[in-house]
Amino acid sequence: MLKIENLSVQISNKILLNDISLSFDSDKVVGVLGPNGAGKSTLLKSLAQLIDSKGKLEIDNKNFRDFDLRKRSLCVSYCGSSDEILSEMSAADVLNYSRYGRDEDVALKDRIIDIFDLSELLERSVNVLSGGERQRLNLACSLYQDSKVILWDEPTNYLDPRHVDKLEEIIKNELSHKLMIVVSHDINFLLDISDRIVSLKNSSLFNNQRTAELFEEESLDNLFDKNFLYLKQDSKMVVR
Amino acid sequence: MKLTGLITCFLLILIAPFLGHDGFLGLDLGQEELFVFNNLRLPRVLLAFLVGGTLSVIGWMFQIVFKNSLATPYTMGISSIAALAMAVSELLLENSMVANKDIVFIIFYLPILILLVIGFKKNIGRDRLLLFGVCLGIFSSSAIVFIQSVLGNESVTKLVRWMMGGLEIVGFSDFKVLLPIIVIGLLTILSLKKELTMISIGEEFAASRGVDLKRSFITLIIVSNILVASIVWFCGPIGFVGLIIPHLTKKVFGQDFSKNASICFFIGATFLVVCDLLSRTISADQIIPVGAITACLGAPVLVYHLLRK
Repeated sequence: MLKIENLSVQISNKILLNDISLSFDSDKVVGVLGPNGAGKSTLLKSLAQLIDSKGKLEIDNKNFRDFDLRKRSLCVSYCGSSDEILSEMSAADVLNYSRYGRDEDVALKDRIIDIFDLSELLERSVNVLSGGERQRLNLACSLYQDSKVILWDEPTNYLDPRHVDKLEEIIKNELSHKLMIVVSHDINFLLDISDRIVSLKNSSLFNNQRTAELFEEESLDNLFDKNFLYLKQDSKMVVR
Repeated sequence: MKLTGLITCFLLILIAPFLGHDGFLGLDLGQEELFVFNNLRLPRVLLAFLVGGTLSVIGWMFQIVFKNSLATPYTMGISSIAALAMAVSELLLENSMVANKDIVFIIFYLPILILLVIGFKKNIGRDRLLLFGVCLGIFSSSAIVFIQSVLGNESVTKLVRWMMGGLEIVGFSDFKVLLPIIVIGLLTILSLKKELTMISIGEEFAASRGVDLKRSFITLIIVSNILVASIVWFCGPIGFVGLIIPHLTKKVFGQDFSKNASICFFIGATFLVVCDLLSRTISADQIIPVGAITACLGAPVLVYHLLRK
């Protein structure tokens, strides 16, 4: 569904992504892992075309770069740091604007408000929300955009453990029909939700494996240059 | 409460052309009063309405574009350059050289506008553009001081008065020039009101939802610069309207530019009409520059706002 060929990003002589080629199927959750500065966020931003990049980007065998901006936003939604939405507008207004250019979908909005526990927050200004509350709104906005591909950069930031569990449920139950690409440093969260894990190191593709394979082969040690402990708890993969 | 405020604004605008330092003209106008009404009061009030509203909307727009709540329509140094052009024109005139003030202004201003557009196209940080505006202001002020020292008293007084801003027009000729520029400019800004609201939420938020940031910024900067340059050229740099009215609108009616831009225009228009009314009624024998009134009323409001923040 989404195909990347020779994707490179360079900003003022610094190579941020070097010749990445990947392809993703729809209805899959793909985790992206890597040390700091490996190019994870750059990969997501270049997929969302928020930064300039070189190389081929295809969605459903069509050149994604040829899409106009509106069509792009129907295909891909990007959710970065919640600090990006520090507005004095109410949470309800921000949620409404996240579906910019499209008709309101009351049923979807109500469902999203329900699953992200937002009903209490809607009338409050976004800049008085706590970090976790704003992050829930940020993720909700990305879902209300209702695009085919969802890109999340560090979605568990600021979330308490209960809401991280809830987020896992949402990904498994509500978003199983979409392609999700999730960057996170919360390895266990990615092990729980991902079908595949793409690893980046030094701006290049390091590994692209099924999650179970990555766990069995203990590939994280080489990626992070650190010895992890690989545990199975009630058929759940956990690393420490 | 909000509705009462808006109705009061409307009534103030309606009554303003009938008021002057000699009191209420009355509804049954005689020939002399009709002349004063048609050629002095009405064009002046209409100009104040148009200029006050436009400066307020542009002020709000700049506060969003520059992500700075202290941005004003003059942040990019337009007023300073206009003042410098005015000073240079006076100098040329005093030295018996033929000087068309409009051409001097265009010669001074056009390179700045081109530089700004290039800056936006090359994605130069907006904080650097703000700094550029500040530097332009400092340079112009120093150059004006230098020119003032060689200008005659009459020219200096004229220049200082112009720099305080004023709405002294006779008849509708200036108004007719400004009206189409302002209408087209404002309509262009309002056609991007949803994009501006999205940008005010967050630039990444807007860009990832199909807002063309670069195109929106360049359009808004060019249009607003032309609008502000025209207003400054006709009325001088009338300060504070473009700073306090957006803050007032945001506080009372909400942050949504898309919903409240027209209310901001209306409040700004009323504010300047009232300030102009005060400027021509406070003193029986003199007209106080309207910029002095807006600053006197605006500064305390701004200080209050800053202290609250």
